[in-house]
Amino acid sequence: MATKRLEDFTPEMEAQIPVYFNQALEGVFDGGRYKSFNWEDAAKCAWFNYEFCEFKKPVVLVGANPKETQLMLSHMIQHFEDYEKDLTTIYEMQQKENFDVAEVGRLSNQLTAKVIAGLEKYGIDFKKEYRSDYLFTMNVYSDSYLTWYAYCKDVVFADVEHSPEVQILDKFRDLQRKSGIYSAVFSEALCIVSKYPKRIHRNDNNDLHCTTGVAVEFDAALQITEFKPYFINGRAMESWIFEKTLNGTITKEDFMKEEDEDLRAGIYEVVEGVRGEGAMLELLGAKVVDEQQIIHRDGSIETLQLYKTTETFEEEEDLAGNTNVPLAWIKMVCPSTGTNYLIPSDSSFTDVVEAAKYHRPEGIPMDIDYKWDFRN
Amino acid sequence: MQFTNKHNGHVGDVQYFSIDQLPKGAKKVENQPVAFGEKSGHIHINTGDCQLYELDGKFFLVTGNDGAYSQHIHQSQMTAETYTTNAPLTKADHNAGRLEPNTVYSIGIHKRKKHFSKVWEKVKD
Repeated sequence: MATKRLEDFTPEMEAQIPVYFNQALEGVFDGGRYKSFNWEDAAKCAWFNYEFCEFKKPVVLVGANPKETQLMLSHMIQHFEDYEKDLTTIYEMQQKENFDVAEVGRLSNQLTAKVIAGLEKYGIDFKKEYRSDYLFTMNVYSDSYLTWYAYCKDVVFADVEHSPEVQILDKFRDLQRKSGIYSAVFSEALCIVSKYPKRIHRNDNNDLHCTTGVAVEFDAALQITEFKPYFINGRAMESWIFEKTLNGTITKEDFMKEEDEDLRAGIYEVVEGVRGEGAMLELLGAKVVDEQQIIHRDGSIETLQLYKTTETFEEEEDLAGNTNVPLAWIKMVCPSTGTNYLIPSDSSFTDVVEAAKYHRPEGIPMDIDYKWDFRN
Repeated sequence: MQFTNKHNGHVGDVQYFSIDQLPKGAKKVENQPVAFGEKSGHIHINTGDCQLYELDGKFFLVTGNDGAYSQHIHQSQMTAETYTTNAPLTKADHNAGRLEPNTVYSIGIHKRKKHFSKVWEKVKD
């Protein structure tokens, strides 16, 4: 068996990595694979995988997104008697030699439409169960494994004679690449595949990110099958943050009663993203009372802002024991993700650096500088 | 125990402050996450040449000659070798922070005020 060492890895080989990256990612983020999806290429990929595992060709139906495929399968199990005849007809047809692929495709798409109509009629009248939808040769992640394989074969081991067995991996790769299959749910006779998203939004770090709506835009046949992943700087967000901000019903109280700092940070990003810079100050009825830049010991620069509401609150008591005082927050930006955090603070502070020191863990003396040697 | 102000840093809301020595009564404990993301499945751990101690619910870390890392990863990434890895791991959100060799650290969580109460609590995420 041929082996290579690190010393054999040349700059010319390394220069090829971006080429293979781009091949693996082509059509993923911009909806290219969604637009080019066709049933026949998806079915051929599914059939090859099943037959490789010594199963017969399954009936292949199509969902617009991974949630839709799960609901379709659960619905078909719940109302199996409505679909048994169609499933059997298609299944038996495609086990014959030289069967009419176009006709099987037509019947399969017809069955998909029937299932969607049934799901619309009955709704979710079953227990929602998640079924594993991961198969490493028929999945969005397949590009990662199979492209690294192709890179190793074509570039790193280009000077080596390959055994015939590697052709099977070429076949898996070609079929998966053309299939447009994002994921699939499997049973012995039925495989329901999901299409890719129509668009994926990311930040400059390539983290999933969108402040004005879903970060991953999937299609859906029905409202109940919509799948809406919201992300801010790579962190999953709850849909209500976007829905309330977009329909104008988000309130200061929504923000203040949220305990999770990352969701609060998400509210900040969405409000500012949808309504514009400064919108969060407006929502809180607050203004910046102090802003300072700190040059840390690692050379990084941090800007801190201290916000206070213009309104005072009888129920709020500050560290000095005063009541009927404003609410206060420190705004800090995460150096790793760029996410803005509004950390509830105390209105007795007028200097944001003194406030930031107080927010350090219990027991840290105030005479320790607010200077970090590493910030992440 | 005195804060030396020689090497301080943070990874997310987990903060490290160098101290002159371990506090009296601190007990050696098995390496383990020092903080958890409540909903995200993320954890803060220390990896590399280091030993964790605990006293009254507070963690302290002593690094060896090779130094260590403060890391923010997803729980599902944990393997038998994770704690001995002396290099940055694939991060969840926050980049890894390098901890100096032969240093004792007090570890704590950033705190925040609970409005309309006098309570200061650890930040939750």
